[in-house]
Amino acid sequence: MRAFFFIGICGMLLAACQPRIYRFTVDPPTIGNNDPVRVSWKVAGKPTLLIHDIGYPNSGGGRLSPVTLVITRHGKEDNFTLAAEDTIRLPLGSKADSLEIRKKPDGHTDDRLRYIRLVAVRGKRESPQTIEVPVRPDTASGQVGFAVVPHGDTLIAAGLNNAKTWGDDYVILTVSLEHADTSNRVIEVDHSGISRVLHRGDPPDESFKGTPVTGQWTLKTLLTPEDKAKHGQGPTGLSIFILLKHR
Amino acid sequence: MSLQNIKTVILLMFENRSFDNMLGHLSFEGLQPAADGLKPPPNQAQYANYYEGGVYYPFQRPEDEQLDSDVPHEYDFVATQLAPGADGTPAMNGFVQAYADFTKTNPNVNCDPMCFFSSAQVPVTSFLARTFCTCDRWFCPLPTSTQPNRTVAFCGHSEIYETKLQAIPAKENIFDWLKNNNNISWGVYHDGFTFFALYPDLWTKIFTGNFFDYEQLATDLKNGTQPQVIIVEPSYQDAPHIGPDHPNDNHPPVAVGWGEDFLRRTYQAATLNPAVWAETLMVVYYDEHGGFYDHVAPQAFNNVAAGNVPPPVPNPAPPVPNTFSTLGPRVPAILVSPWIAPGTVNHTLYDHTSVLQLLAEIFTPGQPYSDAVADRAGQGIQSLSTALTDVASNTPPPPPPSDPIFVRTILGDNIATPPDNNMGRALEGAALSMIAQQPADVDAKFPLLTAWKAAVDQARPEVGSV
Repeated sequence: MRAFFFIGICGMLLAACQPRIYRFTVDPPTIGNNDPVRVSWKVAGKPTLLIHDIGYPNSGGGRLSPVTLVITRHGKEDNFTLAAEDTIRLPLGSKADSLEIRKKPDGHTDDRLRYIRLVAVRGKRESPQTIEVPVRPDTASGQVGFAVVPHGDTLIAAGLNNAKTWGDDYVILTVSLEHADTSNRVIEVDHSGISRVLHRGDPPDESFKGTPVTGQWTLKTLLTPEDKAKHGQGPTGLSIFILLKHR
Repeated sequence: MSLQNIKTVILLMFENRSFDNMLGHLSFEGLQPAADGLKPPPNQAQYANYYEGGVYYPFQRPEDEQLDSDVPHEYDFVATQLAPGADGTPAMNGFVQAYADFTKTNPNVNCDPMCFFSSAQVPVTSFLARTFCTCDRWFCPLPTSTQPNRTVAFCGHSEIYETKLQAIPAKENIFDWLKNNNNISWGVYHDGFTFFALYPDLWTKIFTGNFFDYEQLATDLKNGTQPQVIIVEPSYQDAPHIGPDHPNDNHPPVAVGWGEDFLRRTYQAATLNPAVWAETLMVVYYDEHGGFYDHVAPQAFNNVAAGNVPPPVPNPAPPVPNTFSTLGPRVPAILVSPWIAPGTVNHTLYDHTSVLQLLAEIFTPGQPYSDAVADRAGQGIQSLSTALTDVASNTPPPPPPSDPIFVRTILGDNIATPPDNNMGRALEGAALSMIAQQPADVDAKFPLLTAWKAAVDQARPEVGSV
């Protein structure tokens, strides 16, 4: 009986030694260059926050300029310099808490993807979770797109644009067709009660200016003669370019 | 073709990576333009995946590191990933959706299933692909997970459709076929616990002379005492582990650097003895895509006619039930031998049964491996013999890249942590059953497994034999 009790205690102790991440949130999900972001966590184990930046995907940018991040916790500010390819490593101490990260204004407006990685550690064991926060300039480009559902000769791509990705800080400036689309495809766009038809080569359309990037979007197109020649197969998805303005 | 010249066939099957994930860089970096991998720029409409209005593209991983979690690849998730259109043609644009469904998180911009490696991150795989023969139309047989696909690989068909804690039927397995056909010699060299433990009908074989520790492989090949057909098993991420070994099967979330080193060591073993190498074909392939994006849609295929059990369609049926009416996604596959055209890309339609076709052509000419494999051949799956040349390359095998491979990893799970996926539960269950039923055999064959069980008994007293 004593052996069973001992084994049971050992088992409970070992199981209790596992690091766990119960909650890890970053809000808002997309920020402007000078916006603060709040990081919250609740873990079992010793939490550490790792922060590093890369260029925003397909933004064509060169080497990122170094930035100074001001990390505020319980009213106390600490400055950290984050150079390209560097990582800020921040032991967090408390198992459940939050902090704020804000860039010290410096005039730079790189298009970045900020990796915020929470690692809970117990002994030699780690449990990680990574959230990427897009850090966008005041005017940023993006895309809205959906997989298509065919309705006869019409292809419809529709759905809600993800508020968890965009947050509330960006609104539409213009919409336009994919630069690389050479199909002469015409796309009808419906969003926020506005409907417009986009043609290749048209200047960016300002009809949607000021509407939220989130919410319902519907993109429609007709099968082209080229699509029909390829066994009636059109594109499997439709997307448009959007130019966004930070509020 | 040179069938009579192939005396040794080495089969090395890794886990859970798509062609584009491991070999998409061949065309992306211009190293092997003929390979149908990814092409720059990565943000092309043809590669787009969609999730709640977001458009996601392939991206090169900044570094080879352990992922936060596995990537979904069970049959229902594969149906979402393939995203077949109205006519059944896969659009290949549901990989991010499946990942979000699986992880219940909002996908990052650089979403794990869309990643691919650079040549520098997979130096050995890239070297072998460029030096020997890359197969860029090799699909896993079934649009589902590990257990069914490995079963097709080594039995020609599968009576299961998903991966879970189950005893897998081994009807028409490769070992019986080899024994029953001219007593062809064979050996399994396992770097850890063997996957074949999941097939109770094969346990006798595991304990009676044909299963060897991986470290024996180089010695046998060097001495020319190797069997004719060799199956090399990496150390599986999902298998019980204790002692110094580390998973090297490339199964996410494991970083692939470990597998690169394992591949390097296996290639070095295969080329140790020039006389053996001169008659060797080594096949490097993956069981399935592991949930990673691939841009080539698998073709329509009647897997049920080929003897495979499809998943049941639930009621109400999901928008896209998976009825196994296509092949599975494309996987990386490389043929390594003096008897293939060096530095080439082979566009022939292959799947795992292409290996079984080849073995039948070598060892039982005129007789198919099985009706199921013959059916697959009838539907267009070719034998690997189509890749062999009549004349051997007379240049010695080049040495693999010798640069150190750096792996950024996390010492995560330990014995106290029960497996959190069906494959892990299945392999643990098989290990516990083996230990309960044949403790002496297990102690002799897998001595560390007994130590693992003792540690599990202490760490997780609620776990018994299955």
